Amino acid sequence: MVAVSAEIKRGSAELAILALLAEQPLYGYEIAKRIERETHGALRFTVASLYPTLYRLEKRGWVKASWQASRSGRRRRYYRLTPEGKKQLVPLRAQWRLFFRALDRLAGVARA
Amino acid sequence: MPNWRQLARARLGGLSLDPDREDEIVTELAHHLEDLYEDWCQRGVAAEEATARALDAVPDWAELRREIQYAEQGDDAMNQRTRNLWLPGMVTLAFSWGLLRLFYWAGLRPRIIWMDEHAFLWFSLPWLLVLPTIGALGAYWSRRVGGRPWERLLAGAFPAVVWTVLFIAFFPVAVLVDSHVSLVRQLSTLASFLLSSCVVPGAALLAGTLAFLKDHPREPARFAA
Repeated sequence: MVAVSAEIKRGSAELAILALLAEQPLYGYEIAKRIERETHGALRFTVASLYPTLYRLEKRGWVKASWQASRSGRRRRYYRLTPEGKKQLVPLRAQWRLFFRALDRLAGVARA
Repeated sequence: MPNWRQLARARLGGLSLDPDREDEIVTELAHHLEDLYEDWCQRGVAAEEATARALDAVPDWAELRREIQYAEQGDDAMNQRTRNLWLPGMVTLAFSWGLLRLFYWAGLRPRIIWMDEHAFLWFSLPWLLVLPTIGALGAYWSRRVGGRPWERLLAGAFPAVVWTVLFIAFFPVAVLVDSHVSLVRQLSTLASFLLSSCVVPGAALLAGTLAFLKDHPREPARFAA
């Protein structure tokens, strides 16, 4: 049960990050802020959950990072989606859609 | 403004990665903390409180270090367990048994104390004196590759754990084979084996692991910049 929970957490974090980066390159702090803002605070990424996930995605070649000047002029490590990451995002989205539909069906049955 | 790189470096400690990569990670984390700090300052929070709140973003630096190490090594939980526990544990086991054999071969045979005709205690003083070092080696190895405290403890005490499991697993077989011997007597034999081969060596091994159970380096005081 613990393993499933960890996998779900990890998987959802990866999907959230990949989906954001599909729109535009962002650096870590921006990713955390954007996720918090766009989910109205329902999802929050701490430093401890964000960076290991980013490094894992980078290791897999799904995202690529490079140092660039941010809007404030400071150098920040921007992450962008690679072609491989784009390819992975499609089945990942489909899997999660399926997962939520299944859960929704189950919850509906439980309420009936 | 606090020195965020220094703060992040001191708290994160060594990642056992390529120095350039390690530096890049520390810099990136420091930038994140700095951005958090500035956010709090812009909201009117005093500098000292903003520093504390930024640092609160990482409640457990040791866990963050492990997660980063796992991410950088790019492998799954099974490989992590092999690296953190099984491998250092097997080395500890090989060293402890190998040394016992070596001492035996060199004439430093274990001393045997007969309790009765079935049960005896044995101990090898030179071996027991070396065991803390072997336990320390296992725990150090496990910590070095990102093992959690319980993995370090188990890696260091692995030989005693193996002996215990073996004795307990084979005890029912011994009871069946030596069915003419009373159960009480067989239990006393098992207890003497456990004491000589598991409890005493296990304590010596555990003594060696103690120095490596804490994460290293120690976290500095919260506002030490």
